[in-house]
Amino acid sequence: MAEFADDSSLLAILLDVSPSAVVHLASTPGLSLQTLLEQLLIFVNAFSLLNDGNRLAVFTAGPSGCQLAYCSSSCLPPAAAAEAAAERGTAPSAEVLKGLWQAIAGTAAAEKAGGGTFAGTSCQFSSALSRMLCFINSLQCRAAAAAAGAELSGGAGPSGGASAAVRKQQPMRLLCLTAAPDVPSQYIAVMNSIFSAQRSGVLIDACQLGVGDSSFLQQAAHLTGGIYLKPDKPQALLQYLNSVFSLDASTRQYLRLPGNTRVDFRASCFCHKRQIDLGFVCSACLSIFCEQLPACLTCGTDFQGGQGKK
Amino acid sequence: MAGRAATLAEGRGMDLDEEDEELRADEEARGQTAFEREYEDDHSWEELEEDEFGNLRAPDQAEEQRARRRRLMSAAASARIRRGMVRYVEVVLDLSRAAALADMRPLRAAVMSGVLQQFVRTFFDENPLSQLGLVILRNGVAERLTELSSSPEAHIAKLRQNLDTGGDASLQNALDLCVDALKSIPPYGHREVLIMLAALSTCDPGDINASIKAAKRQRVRVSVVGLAAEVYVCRRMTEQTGGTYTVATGEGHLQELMLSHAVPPPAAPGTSSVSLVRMGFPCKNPEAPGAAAFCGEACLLRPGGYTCPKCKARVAELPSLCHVCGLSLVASPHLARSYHHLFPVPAFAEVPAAELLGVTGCGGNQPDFAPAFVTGRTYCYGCYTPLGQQAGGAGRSRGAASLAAAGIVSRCPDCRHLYCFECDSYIHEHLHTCPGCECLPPHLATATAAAAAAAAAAAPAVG
Repeated sequence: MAEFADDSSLLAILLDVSPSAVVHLASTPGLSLQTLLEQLLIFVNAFSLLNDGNRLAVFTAGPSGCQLAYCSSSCLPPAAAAEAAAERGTAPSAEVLKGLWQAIAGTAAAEKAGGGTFAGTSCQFSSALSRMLCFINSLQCRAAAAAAGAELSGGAGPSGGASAAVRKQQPMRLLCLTAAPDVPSQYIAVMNSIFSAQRSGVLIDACQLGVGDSSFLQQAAHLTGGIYLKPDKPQALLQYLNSVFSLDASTRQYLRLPGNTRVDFRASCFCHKRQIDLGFVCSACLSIFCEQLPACLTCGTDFQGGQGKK
Repeated sequence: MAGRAATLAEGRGMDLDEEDEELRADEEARGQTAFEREYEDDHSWEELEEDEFGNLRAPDQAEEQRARRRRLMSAAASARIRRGMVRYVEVVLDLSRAAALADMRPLRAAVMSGVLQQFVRTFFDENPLSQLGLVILRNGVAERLTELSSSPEAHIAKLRQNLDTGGDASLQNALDLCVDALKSIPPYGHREVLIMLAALSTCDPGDINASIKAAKRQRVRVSVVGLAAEVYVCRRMTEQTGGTYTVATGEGHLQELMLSHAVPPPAAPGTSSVSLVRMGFPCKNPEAPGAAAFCGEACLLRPGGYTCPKCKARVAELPSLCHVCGLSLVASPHLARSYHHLFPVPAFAEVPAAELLGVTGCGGNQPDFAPAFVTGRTYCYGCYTPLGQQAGGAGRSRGAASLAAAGIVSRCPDCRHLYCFECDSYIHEHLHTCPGCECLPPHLATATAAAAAAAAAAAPAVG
């Protein structure tokens, strides 16, 4: 009973469409937004073909916020799904592409309207992550309710129905395809989202296409048990996507996959932003300082005598 | 299992009976039972509605959801106060003969142990820098099960092995033992005792009032969660020491009451001194077999682990105390886990249904490049569930009724986005981040400015 009946899973993809990411992609040899989308579509199709029950949601994140570009009709409330099925054609890949281009065009339009103020700005990663988790949470709630309902109508005892439903829930994964650098001011929100994902058993995979490693994504993958990957050859993105990220968590344990190398858990102090491995923490607000202070700079508490306790 | 999968698939063409089932299941998932609902007005039957087939519809869920929101709001309102972030809690589990009663299935002791295990996990989730110890009341004495430590699995493993019941409960012995253990903790720590009491009587060797006074002198906060009925001595003990006393009405209630103790309590003035605590932020060592070293007090030869930055000793896990120099070792995510108590999401305000008629689009106020299925509707900013009853069109038809999310709609005061009830409670209880506020332009994000400023500093350096 530990595993889901069939091996289907839900994959939510986050695509970074911020201007800085697009600029970066354009400067990478052999990779542009066009080829990135093409490769992503092949991956999306492969994922849907792997299992009939696989569900997909694609989000885009830009500087103005995050949007849902596409989701499988089974991700919607039943009535809305029926309506959507009537409206849309049969090929999901076309829908995905349409949604993505729409979102990218929208971001570009917003940038133009804002007078180019977004130039160089990063994506709203924290907003996107929290919104995707809200989306996944509503799916989980709906699945739990449906499972509990089935249990009740099946005549089985209601005790433990909810917990059984939680245990058998379809595994859910997030895949972040980002190229923009981390924004330090989003730290708390991103960490809150990561902890929330960890608690609800959502894996966060990350594929960093930009320059340098992303500390946020590294921590996200490490804490939720996902994979963080920075491809050596971004132009072969499809290869990475298909061979690493198309597999669900239960399959991964049988494979040798690129592991998380090294995650930096060191803190930086609030006073000088220096990276420290030995510091002082205010016991009231948990602010980190690199030296002994007479009063806390964040919450203003007076430390009697200012002596650090061991 | 196959049957359930089939029902899931049929769920799309759900008929009304199944919808009712779903509501009921929903209710159950939230742990509410019929008698917990507030029947303030005697005319509860008037709320019952018939649908077009003559079937009874369940009474309006909005009221129940409102009651739950009220709790959320009070939690959000109290979030600005100072809390005891570094807690040292002794949990006392009553395994006297009263715990062998079977009014909770299968046994009180089993239920209590299950709830306690959940509490231990949640406690370390919410308070990663805190420590917890377990004490058992049995045969008139208090036995120490585990010392104060910060490893949830160790506590739970010990707890699973010890579930024999018998004899009397002794509150005084428990109190003395706990207060004695809490004497030696550092002054910035908050000292707490949490008692799960099944018994209705206590068998004490002396005057319990003296023990209560001693606990008060040591600034120990004593809280009690009772299983049977309210007992005066517990009421007095908790009032004297500034704790809370609650009695559970059932298993679900017991769980709720225990889990409410997992959140850091407000710090009473003068209960503990605030100081700067010296802490180390060690790096993780590689897991390669060649990098093995002796780890921790038990000197196990193993790779990985963390190196204390002060004395270079290896410890196996974080957070912990260095076994050589006694330095507290934490990772920055542990601190970040507590920041949501300090920078909470503002409470959302409920939006009356009439107001919903005019608005369309994502979250009610943002022109979004919406997927086709939601164009022309209002939908929740978080989960894209359509919100509210739509004016015109199919109106009262079945489709429209089930399209709208059941229950109330709320709005974030800062970013003005609309959320459904599910998302509202998820954001406040688990996520602690409003997706709408996160993408406000910087000049609008006044309320989150403080959080952002602190966050900028807290973020580990990139790269």
